[in-house]
Amino acid sequence: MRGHHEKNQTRFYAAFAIAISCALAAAFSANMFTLFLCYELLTISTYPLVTHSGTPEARRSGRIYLGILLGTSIGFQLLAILITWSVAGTLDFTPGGILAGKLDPAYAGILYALFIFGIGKAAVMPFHKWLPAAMVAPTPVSALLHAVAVVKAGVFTVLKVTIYIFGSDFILSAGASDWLIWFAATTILLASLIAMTKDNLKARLAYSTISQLSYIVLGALIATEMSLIGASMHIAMHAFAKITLFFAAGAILVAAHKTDISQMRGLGRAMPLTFTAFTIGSLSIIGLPLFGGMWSKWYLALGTVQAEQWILLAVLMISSLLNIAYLLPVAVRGFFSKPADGTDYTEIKEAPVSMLIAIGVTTLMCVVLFFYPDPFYDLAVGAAQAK
Amino acid sequence: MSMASEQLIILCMLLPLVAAVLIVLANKHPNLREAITLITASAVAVMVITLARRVMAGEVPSCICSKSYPASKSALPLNRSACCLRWLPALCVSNLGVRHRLHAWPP
Repeated sequence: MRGHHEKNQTRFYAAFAIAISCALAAAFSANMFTLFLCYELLTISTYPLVTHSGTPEARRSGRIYLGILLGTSIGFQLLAILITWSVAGTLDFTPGGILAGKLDPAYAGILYALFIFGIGKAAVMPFHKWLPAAMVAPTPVSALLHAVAVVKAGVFTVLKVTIYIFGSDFILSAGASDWLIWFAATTILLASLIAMTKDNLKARLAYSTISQLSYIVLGALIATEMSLIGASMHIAMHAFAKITLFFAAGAILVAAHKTDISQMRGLGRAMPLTFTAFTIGSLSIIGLPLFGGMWSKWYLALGTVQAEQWILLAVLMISSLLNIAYLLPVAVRGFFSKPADGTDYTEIKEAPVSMLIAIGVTTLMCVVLFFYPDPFYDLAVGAAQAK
Repeated sequence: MSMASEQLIILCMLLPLVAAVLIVLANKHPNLREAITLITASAVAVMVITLARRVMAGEVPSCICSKSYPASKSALPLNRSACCLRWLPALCVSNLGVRHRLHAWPP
């Protein structure tokens, strides 16, 4: 922030701290009511971060951000919570769910849809536009919004509703997610295709996030043990990889003042560490071996096999190919291409040491989590086996 | 002496809020402000990792913050499996603060 001479840094860091608190409170919530409160507070506390620069574009993006997130949460999610309370008499997260035997299975799909579309932070299409709109925020905010706190609060809520409000058995027996699955699958593919068309690096990463979030939503909707394990693990694997990518984007902005991918040809030779980190983060997102993202995508694929959903398996495979198409060219062109306009990068130096340390930590985690995924795997198994 | 898990849960949520107030008060001292951010982020990360390790060891910590309304308690449930999911995002969020602070450190 200081390196880029950002204004209002005090307001920024105060709002950042409040957002972290709200995200943790959402994670610690024991019932849907508390989770909803923390979810809304997280939306409100991140609004100053989105509109940080104060420009008309930032304010417009802030209106889109608030409009979609509050609109979906109050219009759909709150309604779903009220219905759940009236049917089940409780909102406590309970292994195996609280609706089985109380809700007519014929209505389960409608209630589940209210939750899925009401959790706007999960960015399932068509309620995804807030995420690319929010990229107007500073890059550290993008790392917060697009990689960790906000989007993970969304998909975390989806998993909580799936496992502890509905219960995977009830979802499968009622067929509650039979048609919702295709919204997630469409989001995965469409977002990846749109990402390929974006020249702005943060925009490309934003649509990549939309796609990756729907991996988690899809895992929840399939609701088999393997898919729930994969979805839960993808919360962590995607977080570390996407933070790496956004941190690298921030380093490129600070060191080279470049935002568009077409401007980054050959820049990797001037910033080898940053672009190496970007490459590793990309490979983890793609799901290749030696990188943590492989495990979550592996279990998601196993989940589709377990559910005998061969089309969804194809969706996951095609999406991984699309991930390669929109992520690897950034690194490849950075290292192996010549600048289009003959620019000499001799004056551009690597990112500051403090930035490199932060990038290095997350990059290292992308690799470590391949060899040692146990902590997250054990937690994921514990959640998936909740009966 | 180790803190009780219930106290750690409350601290994890309260500490960033306290830090927000301190950050505002340290407005005219940027280095102090950054130090508050980094110390708070580090403390929260350590506390969340400590709690997660206790949960993975079989403990099921619980904390009720409010009983004003039937559904308003903020607590960890009585079943270990229901604990597990919450630690995935908590672990990711808790150490974001440290990494972000390093990333945004003045050059």
